[in-house]
Amino acid sequence: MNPSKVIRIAGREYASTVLTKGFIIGALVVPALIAVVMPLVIMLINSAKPPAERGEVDIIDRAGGVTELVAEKLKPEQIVESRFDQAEEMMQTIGRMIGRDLSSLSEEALDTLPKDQLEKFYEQFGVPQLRVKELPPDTDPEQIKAQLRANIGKAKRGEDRGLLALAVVDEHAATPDPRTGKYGSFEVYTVPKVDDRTIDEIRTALRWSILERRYEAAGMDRNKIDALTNVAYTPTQEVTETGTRDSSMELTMLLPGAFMILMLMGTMTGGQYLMTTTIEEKSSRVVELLLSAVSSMELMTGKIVGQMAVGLTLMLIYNAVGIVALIAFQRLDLIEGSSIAWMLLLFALAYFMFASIMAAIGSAVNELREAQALLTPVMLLVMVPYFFFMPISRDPNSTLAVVTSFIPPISPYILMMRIASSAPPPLWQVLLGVAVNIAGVVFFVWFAAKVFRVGLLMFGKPPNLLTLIKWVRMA
Amino acid sequence: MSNVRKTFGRKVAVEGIDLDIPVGDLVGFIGPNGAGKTTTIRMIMSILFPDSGELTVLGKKTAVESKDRIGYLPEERGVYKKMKVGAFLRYTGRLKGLPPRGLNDRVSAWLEKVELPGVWNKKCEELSKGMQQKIQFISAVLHEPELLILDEPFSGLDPVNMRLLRDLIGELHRGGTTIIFSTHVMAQAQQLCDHIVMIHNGRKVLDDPLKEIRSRHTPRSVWFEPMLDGFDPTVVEALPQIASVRKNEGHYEAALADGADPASAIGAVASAAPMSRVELHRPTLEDIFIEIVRGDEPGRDDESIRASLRLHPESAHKPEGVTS
Repeated sequence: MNPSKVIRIAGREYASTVLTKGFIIGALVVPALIAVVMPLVIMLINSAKPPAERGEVDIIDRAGGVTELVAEKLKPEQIVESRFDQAEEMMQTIGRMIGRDLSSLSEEALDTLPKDQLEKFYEQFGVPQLRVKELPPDTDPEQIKAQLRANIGKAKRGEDRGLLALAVVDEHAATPDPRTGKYGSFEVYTVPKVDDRTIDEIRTALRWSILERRYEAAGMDRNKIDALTNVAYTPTQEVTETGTRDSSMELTMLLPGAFMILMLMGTMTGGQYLMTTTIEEKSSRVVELLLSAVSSMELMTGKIVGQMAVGLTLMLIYNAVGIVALIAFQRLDLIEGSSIAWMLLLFALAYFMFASIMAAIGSAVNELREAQALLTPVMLLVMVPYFFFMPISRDPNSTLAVVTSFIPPISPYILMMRIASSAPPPLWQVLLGVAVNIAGVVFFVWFAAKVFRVGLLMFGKPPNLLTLIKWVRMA
Repeated sequence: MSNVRKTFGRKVAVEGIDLDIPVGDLVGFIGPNGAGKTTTIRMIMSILFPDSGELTVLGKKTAVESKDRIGYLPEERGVYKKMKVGAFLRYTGRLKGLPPRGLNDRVSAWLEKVELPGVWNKKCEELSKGMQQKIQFISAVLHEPELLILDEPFSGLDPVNMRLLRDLIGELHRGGTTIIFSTHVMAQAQQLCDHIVMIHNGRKVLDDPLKEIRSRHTPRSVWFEPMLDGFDPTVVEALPQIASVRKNEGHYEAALADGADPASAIGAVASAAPMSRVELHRPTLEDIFIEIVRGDEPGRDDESIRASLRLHPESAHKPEGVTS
């Protein structure tokens, strides 16, 4: 093999792939756009909230004393407050996942707003304006339901709908039924298509008010019960050599998956391009011209190396993005340098096996369409590491994990997940896995080289797997 | 090349071919489609490897080691459609081991030579098929090969470009390049080559200098066109030097009787009736080929053999894996 020819072919392969609009758009612009557009879309979705609901909520309060509490709870300022609480809770959860404190939201600023601006604010954020009316406990619910029915479709959302919802509170909602000892509940009826958040808020108000009455009836202090049932959350701390830091279990779980997907992405991209360029060279008949200058082995090697550089380029770009993100969250310590080194080695092994298969398929068929039949089993094989992600990230040293670490061509992905996990495998397993994969690479490249040599000049009906094996014997 | 054999599955493509091509020769490979020409050439190029037999190219066991000294224009040819012409030729030149220095000048000079100046920055797909073919020809000769192999170089070219290419081949030949070219159009080989190798059904059926072939197949027929309409061929047929007369596409062909002297025969025919044309017909390669095939396959008539020669390569049925 003539190395300078191999390098020349690799160079053309790389340049003709990376410098195309398709690659630049697909690999770089689209992810960048997603990163920019996604927050915009989320903002748009949030800002395009349906207009605030306006209308009347009737309550047949058979338990007594619930309505006034509900009315208090459904005041706009109360709703805003509980919505803020929810948002803050969400931020705390995200903060826990990445091991950072993000709960800095505050609604205090709202208290300083003048009244007219406050109303505008309610309007913008879809805060419902509800009137709560208490009906006598002996009112027939059917009668009110008939009123609701008459109200269907009368007003558009945003306008005052008049009667919007009916709640029926059971007479034993606050005090237990003396015969069964059980508490009663409540029922809610609404006109169709009321904003789901508003319905949620009505139900939450009812539940909260009923609980309040139950505590009262039982002679208990709500604050005391809240204090009794709440244990303040403190994040798990990891003891490090220099001190302690917040644990980030979720991120630790996701990291092996991220490494695996990064590897898969590099492998798949390089492999796919390799197949398409091979088919292109074959179908445009330029291949025999190339074969007059280089041997089929040099051609295949050059192409595989060139596309490996493409895969690496892509991987390094995303790697850099990931590292920047981790730096932004100040969690760079989660990744060890050795993981990245292992990733490059395992990527090379995984890539050589996959690329050989793709080169063989590309050389065997006449056009992309014919490749589909041969590709299906290959793609199923590629899916396998995905299925193993959950079990292996949960228990990186299970029997399943150890066994699959030694089965090429999926083994590099499994090894990667295990190395990046919180419980890395013993070194001997990694080294044995690498050795098995090197053997796998030798086999796949040998197989592909034979198919490649015969396939490139074969025009005619697309071959199946059996034909390929025949070619290997023939070559 | 000695006793080389190649099979594709059950089909034998090349059966025991012995061949020796002297340096500096211009050799024509002729034979109908599917005869085994391309397979033979691919084996010379080490693109295919023979099942048995020995092969030496430019003193090396395989062409793999001497690829940079060989130029090859395959029959199945193409270009990178999206690549610019200049870049494409630079790339193939570099693959053939040309140094980057002076490469641009060399490519430009050749583009001028094939009358395609100013296509340097055009994409290959913007060129016509004939123009692309000239580009591929350049990529075969750019590195000044010692051995140039051209597989059906004229197919798809118009007469003007055909002549251009023929002149270029002649020029290279005079410059000392050994040239092998294959064609199924025998007239082309006749015009160009000093040496003819004829292949039929994977076997070599002829391997001689053109002159020798000509002298061996002495003219044995007189072609003539009578001046007047009501011509009676029996007048000619009655001549003692003539065995038979048959009409063929606007002229008559009179076969010489055994032992008849061609010179006296032509004189006799010319004086038998007023003639607008009388000529002693030299057998063409096609005639010779037909003679050889008829010896091989007694059952076949001339016309079916002639027809098999005229099949256009694109329309011919190609068995899997075997072209030409």
